[in-house]
Amino acid sequence: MVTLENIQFSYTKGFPALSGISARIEPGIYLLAGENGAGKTTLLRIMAGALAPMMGTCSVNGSNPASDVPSQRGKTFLVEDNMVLPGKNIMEFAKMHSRFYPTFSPELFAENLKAFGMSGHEPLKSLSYGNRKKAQISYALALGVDLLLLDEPTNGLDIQSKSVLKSIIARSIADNQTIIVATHTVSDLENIFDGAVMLSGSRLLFAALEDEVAARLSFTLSSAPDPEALYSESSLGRYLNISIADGEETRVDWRLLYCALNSPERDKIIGILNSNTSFEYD
Amino acid sequence: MTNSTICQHTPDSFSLQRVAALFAYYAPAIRRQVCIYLAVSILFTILLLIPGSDTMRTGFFSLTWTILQWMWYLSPLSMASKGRSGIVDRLIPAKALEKLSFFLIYFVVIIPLVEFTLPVVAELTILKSLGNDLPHFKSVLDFQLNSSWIMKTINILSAICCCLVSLCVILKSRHNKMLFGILSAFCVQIILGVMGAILSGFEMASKAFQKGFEDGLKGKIDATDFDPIEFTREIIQPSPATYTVVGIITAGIVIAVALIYRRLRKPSL
Repeated sequence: MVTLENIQFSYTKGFPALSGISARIEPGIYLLAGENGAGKTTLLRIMAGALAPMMGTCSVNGSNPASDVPSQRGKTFLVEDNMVLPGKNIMEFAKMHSRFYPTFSPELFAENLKAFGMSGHEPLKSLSYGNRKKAQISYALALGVDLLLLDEPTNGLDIQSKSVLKSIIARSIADNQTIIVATHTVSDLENIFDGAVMLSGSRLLFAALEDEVAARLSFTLSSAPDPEALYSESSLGRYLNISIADGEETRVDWRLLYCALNSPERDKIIGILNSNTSFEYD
Repeated sequence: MTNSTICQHTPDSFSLQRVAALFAYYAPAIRRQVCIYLAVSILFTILLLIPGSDTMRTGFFSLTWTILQWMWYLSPLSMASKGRSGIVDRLIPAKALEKLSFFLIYFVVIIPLVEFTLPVVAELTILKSLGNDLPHFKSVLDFQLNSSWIMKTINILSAICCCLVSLCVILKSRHNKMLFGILSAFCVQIILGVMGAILSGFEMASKAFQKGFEDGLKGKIDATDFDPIEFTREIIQPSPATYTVVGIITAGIVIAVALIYRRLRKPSL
């Protein structure tokens, strides 16, 4: 479980990158969404222990990811966008890097690479951006860390690889693991998220499990605008609506919810979402 | 692929196993650097051994030591190459003290051994036994081999200081790591040079004045037998000035090590 308590961080004095972020994230796969500059990458880096919050605390299963204790530090791993890994190929990198991670599974790593159609012996330098990303994600998912953070994992992946990514994320996750995926293209990984954390303007908009959102909001498709909808948008002649749940749970459309949270209806929707969720936040 | 993790049975206290694992992690960069440094060392040793005129051999000798020393100063640049990911290196689950130990063993012990072993062995064996038909070369070689222990200490400490400051700057910089690493090495050399000149200058002046005064009293006013190398060797002897230089450089090394440790311990990109 990841616990964030009143996290504050700024790169430049007076310009907060994150402000008052508090949330408790249970094991599962989570979407981290927010506009450009909302603080997604900063939050990922804090959870990975690569940045220390100026105020507040972050813990992963009770351990500080930024601590100098190897067993605590080894609980998290972050795959950043445009990350460069040393080594001739991903196999060589894995051989020298995985020895720090006792939970690493070589079998899962090989399976993940195979699913992407890679052998692992392709020279990293000559790989395309997308293929480099596939190799990195295959390795990261096999590390078996308590908290895996993926920043824009679908960037550069072809259509088929995006669906492979979805299946290997779902297959690789263990019961006690948390995977947080920061992405702008929610549709690429739809249906795999157990919950979402949404940021806006360096603050936490909401953090909730899918069940909790589905219990409060209903996501429907109609041929005419729904007058009861809290938020509605047209798409190819039809209307996607968010309304207050009437007892029957529908599948959460995270993209639609994200758009709704960036609309004038935001406060109303947040008010509904924030009523008795299992998350704790401002 | 076999999975040989070292952390499973390794406690969270300082572990030599993890230091060894860090060597394995940095192996590609280490392998490349050691090969290049060894090749350059062999090349310059061969140059030193090539028969030639007195002037040519003296020139090669000075060039060899200058280049090898600068290669040592700039050796931490291997940690700033484009193929390295700052975040992956930083997130390695090893203690800051283990990472510091790795850097110190590699840059302060292994690199100088790789670089200087061959030229020093060549100096102590073949070059030392060369005939007396190379007066300048013999004089320069003799100056290096027979300089006082304080001079040798100052040379070694200043090289370590320069290397560690460069490493510290590379670890600290977010961008332009190569440029800042090179600039820092140059700056340290300039600072050490100016400091050495100021402190030793007073010492030299006082000794030169004393010597001149003594010679004058003896009526010895002919300076044709003046040997600058012999004079420098006489001057750079243990004295308050040279001890101060050693103290300042040592303080610089301690500060650089403390800053590197702090950088490795404190999470920030």
